[in-house]
Amino acid sequence: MINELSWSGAELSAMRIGLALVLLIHLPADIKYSINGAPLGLANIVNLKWFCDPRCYQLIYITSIVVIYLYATGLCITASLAYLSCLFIIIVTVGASRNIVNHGLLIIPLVLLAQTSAYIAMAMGHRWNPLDRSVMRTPDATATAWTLQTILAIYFISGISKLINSRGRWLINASAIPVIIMARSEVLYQDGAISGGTKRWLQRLGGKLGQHKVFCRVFFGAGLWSELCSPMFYYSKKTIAMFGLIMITFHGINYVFMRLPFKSNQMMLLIYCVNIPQLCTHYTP
Amino acid sequence: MPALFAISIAGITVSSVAIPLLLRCRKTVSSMPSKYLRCLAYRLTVVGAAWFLYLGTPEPAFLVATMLFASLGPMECLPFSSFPMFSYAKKTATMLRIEDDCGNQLSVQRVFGETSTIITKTFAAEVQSLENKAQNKVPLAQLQPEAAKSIGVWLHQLAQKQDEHFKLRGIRIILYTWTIFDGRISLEKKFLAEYNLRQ
Repeated sequence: MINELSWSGAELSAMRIGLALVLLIHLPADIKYSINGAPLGLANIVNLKWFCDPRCYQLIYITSIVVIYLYATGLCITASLAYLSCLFIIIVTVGASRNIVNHGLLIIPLVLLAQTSAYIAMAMGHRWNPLDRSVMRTPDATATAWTLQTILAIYFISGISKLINSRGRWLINASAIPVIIMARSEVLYQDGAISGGTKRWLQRLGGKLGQHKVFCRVFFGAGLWSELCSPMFYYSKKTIAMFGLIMITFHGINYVFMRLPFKSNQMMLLIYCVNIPQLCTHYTP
Repeated sequence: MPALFAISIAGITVSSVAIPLLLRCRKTVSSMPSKYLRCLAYRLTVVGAAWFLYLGTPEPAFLVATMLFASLGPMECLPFSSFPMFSYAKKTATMLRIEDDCGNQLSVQRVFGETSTIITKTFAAEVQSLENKAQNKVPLAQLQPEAAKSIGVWLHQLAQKQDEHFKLRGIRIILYTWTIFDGRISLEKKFLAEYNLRQ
């Protein structure tokens, strides 16, 4: 039987302030992109050129900081979340409308959408309970539950898409990942993100890993299994915390090998899955 | 329960037709039926998987979230995406090496204000765009130098916005390709284009 999840007021407040911080960190101070012939998503049906205008964006930026502050303090939460969802969808869309999708930011609008939907559903008085399971929660707790499920769904879909795109051969193909490490080290060196010594170390590592196919499959395959098993972690707060720590480690390994930090994902995992106030309560004598 | 399942399947099937139409992907729908069918199969697979998972979860939100991600299928429809990072794990990897006219590797982020990843992805998009425009099948070796020339023009524009561009006389674009075969990784270097920034 799956445990019914509940969170204390302190945990929910910490999550709200944590999300506000994530939004502040990832809110770009200026938009240097423009839609240039490769629109994606919303840019296909709505003209977003106005958003790229520096004067217009300056106004949006200031408004957004005020709205984030309102959200953090718990005022006008539904309206704030709806505004922030639209804002981050547009930021992601504009950034990606150059055939360059930044997957590192996608988690933010998805989490915001999940929270907005939860607050709207609760405000409308729906409990969304088709199987007659009595789930009666406060709007804050519902938003947190939906956020957690969204995070788990993101990793699950990532695993599923790996299997579908590779026609089920991802584990076999995983032995080719050292090639990506080699290319990535050269890219990072050219960007000035790593020194010549680090580049040589990464290239030696890539070369060594390339020689050990089975090790690569087991090592990188662990990430795939974690992604595919993500829904199973939605059992209790402890299993969710375990999932958070596993995925933070997974992103950490990606950072060491390829300098792909996925900062927003790690922050979301830390705030919602690991849930630091929970850990503090658990380990305080 | 079966009614909800039937509604989910119907919703996904309708969305798989409506979303590409809404996003003006008619070419995908009409001229590439096999791709379209694969998209549909993808959605149904994920919905099926989500349904089984839903039976074990206390709320349907997981199902709803999964359906939303899945319903948009392999076509990128942000913020819903199939999250395809490393989903192919190809046996080759490429990057564009940008050098000055003397053959020294440039620190591209400082000189052009863009990262190498973005430059390489833009190059790949340019090659894809040229391939789509071509009436007949054109070999990649022919398209790459042409795409590199466009990248050269773009880099020139970027350099003009940076202070560093006055020190540059020209840039050379070289394609690096790493290939893994039988546990050994080899590197192939291919000169693509040279661009004079004093033009």
